[in-house]
Amino acid sequence: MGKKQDIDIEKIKEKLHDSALSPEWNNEGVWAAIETKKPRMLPIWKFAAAAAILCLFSFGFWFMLTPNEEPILATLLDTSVNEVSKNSAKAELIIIEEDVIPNAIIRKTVKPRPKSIQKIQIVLKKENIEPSKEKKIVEQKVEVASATLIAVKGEYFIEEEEIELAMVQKLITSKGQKITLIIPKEETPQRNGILGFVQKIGKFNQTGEWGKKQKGTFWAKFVESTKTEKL
Amino acid sequence: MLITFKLQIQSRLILLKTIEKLKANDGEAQKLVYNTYGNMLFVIAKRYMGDTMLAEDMMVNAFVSIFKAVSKTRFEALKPFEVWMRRIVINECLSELRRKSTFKMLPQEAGEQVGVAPDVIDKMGSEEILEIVAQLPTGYRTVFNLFEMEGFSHKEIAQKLSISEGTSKSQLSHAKRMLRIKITGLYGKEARYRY
Repeated sequence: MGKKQDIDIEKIKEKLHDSALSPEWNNEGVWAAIETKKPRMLPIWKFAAAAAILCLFSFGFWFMLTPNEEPILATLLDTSVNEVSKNSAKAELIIIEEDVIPNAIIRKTVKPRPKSIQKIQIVLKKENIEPSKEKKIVEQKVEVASATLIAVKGEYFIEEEEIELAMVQKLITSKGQKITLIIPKEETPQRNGILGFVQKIGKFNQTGEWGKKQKGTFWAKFVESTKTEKL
Repeated sequence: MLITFKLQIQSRLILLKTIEKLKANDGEAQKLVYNTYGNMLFVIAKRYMGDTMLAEDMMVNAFVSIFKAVSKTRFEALKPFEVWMRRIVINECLSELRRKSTFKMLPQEAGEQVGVAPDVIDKMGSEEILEIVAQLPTGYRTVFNLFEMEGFSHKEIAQKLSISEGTSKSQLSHAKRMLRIKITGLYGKEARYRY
């Protein structure tokens, strides 16, 4: 009887399996809920774009924060140390801090500089070298492809510029090294500009001896070139 | 006839490609699968949960699980995909029912052992029958669904619901009886059928 009786249950099952069965329900609401809950996976290109933007921003930020200093000093530091250490000259690191640079004497071509600057330079000090007692070992004449001249007029820092016209004569002795800056004599002396200034310095300092720093006089410190060629 | 068959084949191929896209979390593919199978899966959820809103909640959970797990599963045809989705919906419903119900036996109502005349059921709409099944007590409804609709044995049902096999059999018997009572209650004494 049980099996026979279940004919109605079979009919009920058929009705429930009917594919056309469509009860009322909140189809759109359920989909909206699924969309808020389903796991999200951003495409790889979105990650890449975000990373690129982040990199650009970081670089821009770093670029804005980094002061715009000329790289010449660092180059000078390396080369100068090498040159000096070879020849047992005394090298000194001098940190020059200038508080105020008068605008009037800064050349127009010079890039804007901060009010306070710190420079590290190498200065060859020629201490207690008497020309008469010098024992000449090697005399070397080198062509300076790009010598750097740090010229000072009075107490004021004027300019740091590369000159390509000067010659350097190295006199290496047992006590140290003497470097002479030879300024070429121009037929038509330059009155203005860096060349003119270099010629003026040459007038005062033909031998390369460093005169005492006095107010109102020209003097210069010569820092060796980054690039020298033997003649 | 041939054109209809061709269209069916074409739509099946599209669905198969869609399933592949699901693995890449493609939004359009997810929507297409939802639109295609949503109604069928909702009927299952409604049969188990009884309440429409609860069934909708189960649909949300089930589809989130489907979209999450689809990348780990491989389907060669549509049928296994459908079966897999059905199983996810049923599991979601069962875990919710296990959390809420203890599947205790309800007191047996006294009544005649009568069936429902087959022609009466034929005249009833599918939605109407679904509503009657949905109104069954949780235990009756769950066992009826698992045994009659999904084809599980009483042993398997006992394991799934953490009840004894005897309880499963009793629940099924009571479910059938209550269904008949409800239908004959709706359609009067004429609907009764003595075998």
